[in-house]
Amino acid sequence: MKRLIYITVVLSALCSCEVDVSDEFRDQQNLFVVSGEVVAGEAPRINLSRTITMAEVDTLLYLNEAQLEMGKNDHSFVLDPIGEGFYLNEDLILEPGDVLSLECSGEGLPDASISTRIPEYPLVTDIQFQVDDAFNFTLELSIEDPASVLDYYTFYIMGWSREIVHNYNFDTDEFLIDTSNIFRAYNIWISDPVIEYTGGPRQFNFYDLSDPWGQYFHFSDKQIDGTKHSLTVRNNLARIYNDSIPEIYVHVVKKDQHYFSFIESYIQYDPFPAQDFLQAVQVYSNIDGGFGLLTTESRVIDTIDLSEWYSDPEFLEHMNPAAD
Amino acid sequence: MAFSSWAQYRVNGTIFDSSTGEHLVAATVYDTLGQSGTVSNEYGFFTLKIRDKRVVLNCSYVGYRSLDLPLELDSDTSMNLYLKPSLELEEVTVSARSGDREFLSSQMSAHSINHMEAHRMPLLFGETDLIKSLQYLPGISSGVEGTSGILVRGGGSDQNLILLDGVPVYNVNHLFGLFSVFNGDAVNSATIYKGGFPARYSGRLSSVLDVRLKEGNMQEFHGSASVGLIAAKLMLEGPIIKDKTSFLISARRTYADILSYPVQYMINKSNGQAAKNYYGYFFHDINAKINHKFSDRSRLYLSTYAGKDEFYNKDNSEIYDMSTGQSVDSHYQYGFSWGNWTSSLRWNHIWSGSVFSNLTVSYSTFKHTEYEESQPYYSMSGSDSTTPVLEDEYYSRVKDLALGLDLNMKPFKGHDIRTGIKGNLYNFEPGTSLDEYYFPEQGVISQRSGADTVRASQWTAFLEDDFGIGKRFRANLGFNASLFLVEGRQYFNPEPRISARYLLSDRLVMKASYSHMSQNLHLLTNAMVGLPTDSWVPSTSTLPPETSRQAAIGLNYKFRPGIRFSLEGFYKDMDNVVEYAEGAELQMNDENWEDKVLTGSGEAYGLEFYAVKETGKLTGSLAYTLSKTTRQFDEINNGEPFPYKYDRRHDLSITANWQMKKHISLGAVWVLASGTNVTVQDHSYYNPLLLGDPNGGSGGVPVNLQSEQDLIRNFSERNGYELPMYHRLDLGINFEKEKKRGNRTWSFGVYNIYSRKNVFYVYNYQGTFEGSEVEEKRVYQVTMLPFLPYARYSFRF
Repeated sequence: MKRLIYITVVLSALCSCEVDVSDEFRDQQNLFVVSGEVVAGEAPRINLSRTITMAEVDTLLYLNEAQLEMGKNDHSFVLDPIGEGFYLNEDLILEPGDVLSLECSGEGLPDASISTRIPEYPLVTDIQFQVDDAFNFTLELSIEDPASVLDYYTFYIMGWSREIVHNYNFDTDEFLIDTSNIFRAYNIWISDPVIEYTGGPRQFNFYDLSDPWGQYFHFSDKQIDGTKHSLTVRNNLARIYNDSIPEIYVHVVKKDQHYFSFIESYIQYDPFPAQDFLQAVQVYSNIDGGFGLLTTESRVIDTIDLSEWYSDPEFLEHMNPAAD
Repeated sequence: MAFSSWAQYRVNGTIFDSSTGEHLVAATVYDTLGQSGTVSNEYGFFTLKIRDKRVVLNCSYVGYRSLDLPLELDSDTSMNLYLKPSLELEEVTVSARSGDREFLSSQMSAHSINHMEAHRMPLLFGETDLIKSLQYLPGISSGVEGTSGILVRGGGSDQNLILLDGVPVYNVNHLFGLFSVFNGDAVNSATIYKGGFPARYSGRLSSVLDVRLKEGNMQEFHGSASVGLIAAKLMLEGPIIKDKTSFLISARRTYADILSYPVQYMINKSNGQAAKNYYGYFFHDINAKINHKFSDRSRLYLSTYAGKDEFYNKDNSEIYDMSTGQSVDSHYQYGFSWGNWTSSLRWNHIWSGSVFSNLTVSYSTFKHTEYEESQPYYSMSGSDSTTPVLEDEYYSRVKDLALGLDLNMKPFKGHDIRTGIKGNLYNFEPGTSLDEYYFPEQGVISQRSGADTVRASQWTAFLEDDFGIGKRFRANLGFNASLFLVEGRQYFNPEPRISARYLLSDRLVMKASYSHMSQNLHLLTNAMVGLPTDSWVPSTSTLPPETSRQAAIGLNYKFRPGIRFSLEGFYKDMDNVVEYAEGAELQMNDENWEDKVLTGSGEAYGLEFYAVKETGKLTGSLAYTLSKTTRQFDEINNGEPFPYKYDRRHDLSITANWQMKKHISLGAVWVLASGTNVTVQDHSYYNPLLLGDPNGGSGGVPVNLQSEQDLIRNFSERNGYELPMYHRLDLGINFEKEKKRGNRTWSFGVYNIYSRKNVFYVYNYQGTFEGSEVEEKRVYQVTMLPFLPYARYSFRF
């Protein structure tokens, strides 16, 4: 950073001036931004917005009057706008192996298109859930990866968690403390070198074996191609306890390569670069003629019933020792 | 056939400037009766086989009176030839043969720099710069405006082997590249090779710049001094023992820091601040050389160069100590410096049989340092009464120790053979951080981190033969082989070279060449500016050597003595060129620095036209290059080839020098070039993973329009935006006058006389602007170096 200051001082001294050339960029063409996560077994829901050009103020402009046509295995389906940039066709249910295409037109923008494929369902076997005397739980499962096919996986456990909510009351100038059930991914422990990334849409991280905690785990099959690979998850029931909904949902998701390519570039991208002269990072996009990301996935969700432990008096005492 | 016609004799010797005793590089020696000739090598040495007893040797050199020497030979002969400079330019008569040197040589794609001419050209800030004068040649372009970097035939700035008295210089930049390290007063000769590389050169892909320093006048004391806008120079030379030992010492220093100190003092005083804050910048360099003549056959040279740039900020103030509740004096200093040090000890000997040998031991190092010193040091968590001193240093360094022997001989008529071996030991420290805390009671606590030191060695051998077949065909056939040893890995680099010419007529010659080059040293540099913070790293077990193959073909036409035209086409491809990975930080204090480096390929091809007039009152040149250069990296630009940053489709330079009166000369330079290619932020859009999920992404939080983090700034295709065309006109005038004790010159001129606003880079900014409270986004072009006048006074004695 200091170097940048020095350089700026020197260059500023030598710079004759800055010329406002905004007018030259006023005619820059906006482009479609296509966003969507197409899930096997569900109707596709696609969001359309447009890019902000060099001389435009940053703002989010949804496009609700574009024409969206999705091709599925040589059949075409029109997606209808449902507001806030979303387009949907509830009659169109997508299945693993479907070859998709999407054509976007209208709104005075250049056409944009995408072509992709929905991955097959992941093959998940041997799920075992064990709890020890201290209520530490271990979840084991196996993923059977098909040989010679590039596969990408995301793994996480969702569930309800009771969280304390602080609401400030401006009239009384007091905090109102309440509890709320929130459906979210749990923070879990997986120590496994096949994991490559952790994190979600706002922040992806390189997986760190020395601190193997995270909510979302992403990995390719480059180390497990054609093998049966076991994942072991650990945590403590007390950390995920919810008194009203005693279930957790184990998600094993097979993603397409586009999602991984996005992670690989986005993890390098820094919205607040400390050095202006850094090599620019291009965030991956799979939209021809536009920007954004249309990813596809097939997910397997297994439910684990925790009511046996949640109703255990020892566990309840452990959770609420003041009850005595 | 008379036997005498086959009685071959050898004539060898060294060619000198009669006034200074300096040897003359690439002077021509021509047997006018036998119609064969040669040129002196980089030490002024020549050897020529003569077929008849009677011979008239013509010796010539640009800017010197030619010498005709009739001889009657009855054995091999050694002699020293002294040429007299022609001081008055209008009387200069350059012999046809002298002008023919480049025309008749088998060498192509090479230019010798006339440093006297460079002195008369318009100057940036009044400083003569050898490297800037190279930028007016075809196939050679500049990097960032005003800088001394050269980019040759699509190569990067690190692909130029820059030799100072045969020793590589790892960073040639002063003041971020606005000046080069070469002090014009100390330079004797310079030759740049863009292709058709002779086998004696190796180690870089794109060019070789061979700069030779003066040796020091053997006869009498001389010197020169000059004062420009930002720097002063002094050069002294003379005999230590007349005709036996001479010295040369040349030094310069900038004085912006000294001149600005009173201004900063007044500003600090008028602000009434407790803090006394000073910024400063300087560079200095020194060239020194001692030349000892044991005999006409044996000489020893010791030469050294040392230079340093430093940029600093010193802050002395009073601060509040939370632990004692009292004010204490605080001293804070930070800055960075960079510099080269090169040294060489060279022994030249002419053995019987006219074998010229050159034994050299050399050392070269480059180091850049960023430092910070603070007393007392307060951490973010507050201070305590121990008031330690913090010294924090980051540095990167390369060291190169070499021992080499090369021989130059003519065992057969028409064959000029050079061969040699060389060993280099390298030590690379790509980036090291050293933090030292001095506690009054505990002493020093040090923390060292960064990339491991890498040691490597290289062993090189070469053989080249410059020979002719008949009068029309001449070729330089060579082979260079090197073995690079690093981290238990061996890289063997065989490099065939050939350069040839065929005389189509007395005025027209066709030349062609092929060179295979390799490079085991890589410069990790950022894409924007030529910073001294760039790091040299070696090939390693995961980073292979860069290689290139270049083919060129061309025509040279000699219009009349002193006026030549050339047209050359070239094609070059490169493998394993290096680049920082996207988003990689510039500092290399990372143990896994190789992970930040990408390797890819490059391609360059083009056409170069050059016209030059070297004689008469009006001299000058016109150079035009039409070329295309691309790079391809699997990890950049989706693997698609993209334009190299300095891919200049068109590059035109016109220089002119008019000796309008005996002591008044006018110089002009006009440059026109395609704009550089930059990567600009062209579109922005919100994170599609958040937009695509109606629940706002897996985190359950929708797009935050106020958050820069949710916005993705897209950058155009790598180097996909071409800046506006670059052009400027420089004018200068020199007034020379002979004084009692020497020659004084006043130089005045203007760089960029019509103040063309050449664009350096483009950026956009969102905010509110004067006269409006509504937020706007504007796009700016930043320009540099407008109308810049200069004045310079110099004196030679």
